[in-house]
Amino acid sequence: MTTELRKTGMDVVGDIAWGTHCCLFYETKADLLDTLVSYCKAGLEGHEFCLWVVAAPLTEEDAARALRHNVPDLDRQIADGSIEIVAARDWYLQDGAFNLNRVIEGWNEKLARAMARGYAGVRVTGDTAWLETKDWQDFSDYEESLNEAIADQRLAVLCTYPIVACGAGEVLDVVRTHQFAIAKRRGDWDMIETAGHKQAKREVLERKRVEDALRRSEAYLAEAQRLSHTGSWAFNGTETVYWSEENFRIWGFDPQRTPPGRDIVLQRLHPEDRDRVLEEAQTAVRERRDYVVEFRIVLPDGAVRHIHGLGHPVFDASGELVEVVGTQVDVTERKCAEEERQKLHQLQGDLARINRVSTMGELTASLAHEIKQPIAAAVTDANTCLRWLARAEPDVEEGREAAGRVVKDVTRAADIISGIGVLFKKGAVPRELVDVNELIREMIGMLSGEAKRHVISMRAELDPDLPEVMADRVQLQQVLMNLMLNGIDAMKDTSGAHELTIKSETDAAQPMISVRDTGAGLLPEHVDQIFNTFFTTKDHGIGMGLPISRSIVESHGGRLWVAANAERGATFQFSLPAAGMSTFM
Amino acid sequence: MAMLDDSSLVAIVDDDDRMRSALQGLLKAVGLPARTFASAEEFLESGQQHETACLIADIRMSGMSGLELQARLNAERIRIPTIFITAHGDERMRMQALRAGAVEFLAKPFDNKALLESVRAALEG
Repeated sequence: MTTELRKTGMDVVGDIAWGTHCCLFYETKADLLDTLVSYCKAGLEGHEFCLWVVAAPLTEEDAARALRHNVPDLDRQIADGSIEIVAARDWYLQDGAFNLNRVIEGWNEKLARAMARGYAGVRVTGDTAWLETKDWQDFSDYEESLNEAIADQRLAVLCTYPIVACGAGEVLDVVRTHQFAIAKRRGDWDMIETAGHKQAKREVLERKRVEDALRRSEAYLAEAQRLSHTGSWAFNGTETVYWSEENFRIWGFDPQRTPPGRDIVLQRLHPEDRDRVLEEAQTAVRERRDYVVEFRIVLPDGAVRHIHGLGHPVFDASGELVEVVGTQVDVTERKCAEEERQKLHQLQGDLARINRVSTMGELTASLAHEIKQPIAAAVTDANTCLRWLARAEPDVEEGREAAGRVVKDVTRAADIISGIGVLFKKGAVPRELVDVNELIREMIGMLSGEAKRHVISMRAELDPDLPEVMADRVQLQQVLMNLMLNGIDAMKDTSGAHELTIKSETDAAQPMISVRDTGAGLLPEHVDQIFNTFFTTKDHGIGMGLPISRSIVESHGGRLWVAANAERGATFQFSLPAAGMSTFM
Repeated sequence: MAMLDDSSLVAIVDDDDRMRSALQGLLKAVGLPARTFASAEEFLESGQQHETACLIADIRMSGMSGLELQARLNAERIRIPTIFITAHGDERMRMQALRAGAVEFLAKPFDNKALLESVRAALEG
């Protein structure tokens, strides 16, 4: 039975389903015409083929006239065969007698022709005023069998009976053989449904509601799958039983076809991933658990897609595998974006390192030159001193003078080294209001590639109310970068979980920033030297990072110090005066 | 060493006072009196260039550089055997200096013996 509903044109009935077989009892010719005109009109409007079988005293001409009144282009509809108006004697009583099978065959013929010509279905109304008592039983049998005959057809039949010709027994027969009956009751049309029909109608309506809901939900699901690049599938252990449309698209198969066979699917799996995926799925089924697996597929054009797959084995009550259902998400775009991001981070990290090294390099070169001058002088003066003293008669006075010059030379060298801070004297670069938290987040972003490369997780604990500072932004970046890279360097060759924590807090209204690592930590004897220029514990370090960092912090009126952690690693910490409260600037 | 009493024989041009004193002290210890100048300009203005038998000069100085001084003297056809001492000399600079007539090119901190040998060679040559 189809769930498609048709308008009857009769207010009291409303819509009916195909396969409906109903009856109408009429008293007057006018009642009959009114009802059937509406019925046929609705049929023509619904693009159905209509057949109106009239019986005396009504003539075909009466029917056509009444209908034309409501359907202005009736003659055209008659001409193109959309409606036929025929006499009952010509339809029911061919060869002068009623033949049940022949009449039913007639309906089916009309139906076949109508469907072939593209009509939505066939709407029939037949009058029984011709019926004589001798034919009653045969006709009643016909009415009974018609229910079965049209149940699954796109056919609706309305039988009309003159009430004056019916006794109570006949009325009962008619009502029993139709799904519902229509009659006038105190001047208004009324309808009585048989219980079976009521149930059938409810079922049709319910089925229609469910089908609509299902169709809607399927449409939404398909749309959601398309938008999220998610395909779904079901596999019964031997063969694929379901592939969603999106799954076809992800794997590059035609959604109009049946799901591809297992071998064809396996061929599209990336050769390097194939065994791993099968192994994972089989293990999961064996262990009766869900599984998640990432893999690549290779399409016929060579394109590689990254898939995030999820499988869920379903077992029956006896523990037998029923099927495996799962989803596959095409994460190619996400993956590419992630790879790009990683590359970018790596580049940023490299850049940061190069930047640091070249800054350090320049500084060392210029410092080296500055320091070489007094050292060369000291070597020469010491040499001269030796010459005076090495004479056969040592000239102590000249020797002392030369030694005095050595002292001055060396003092000069020491002054230069301790004067590195001069490089960061304030005033060289204009200072601005700096949000240190933002700076920390920037540096974490910049160094995340570097940290990831050494399997180090970075964590920020930032005080949202941290006061801003007046600072040279680039110099503060340099300090943070030095301390963070030092932390990474300290951890990268040690074992255990590695975490770099960058924390900002407010201590007595002053911003305080700490960089804590879980690395090798500090030797007690190094704590005092670590800020000395050229002191380093690294193979490739030059020992400039920390002294420069300290100079920068101090030139900002802050302090930088270090403490060994209770457990592992070291914490470098520096304070800065909050903007507006500085007494140093 | 008959010429050692001529006080204008060796001239030292270096903008670093520690270096000037050290060089003068070293030469004094081997009996070579020297006059010192804090810049190439000062040396040229002193007129001493005409009586100098050996010039010891730094290369990178504020004002005129040692190589510029050498070029200037060459242009004026004043040929003084010149020894350069520098804290950041590279091979290119060294070749330039030697091609322009320098007798030695020493990197700081320098070998005192090598310096003295060059000075003696310049004075005797």
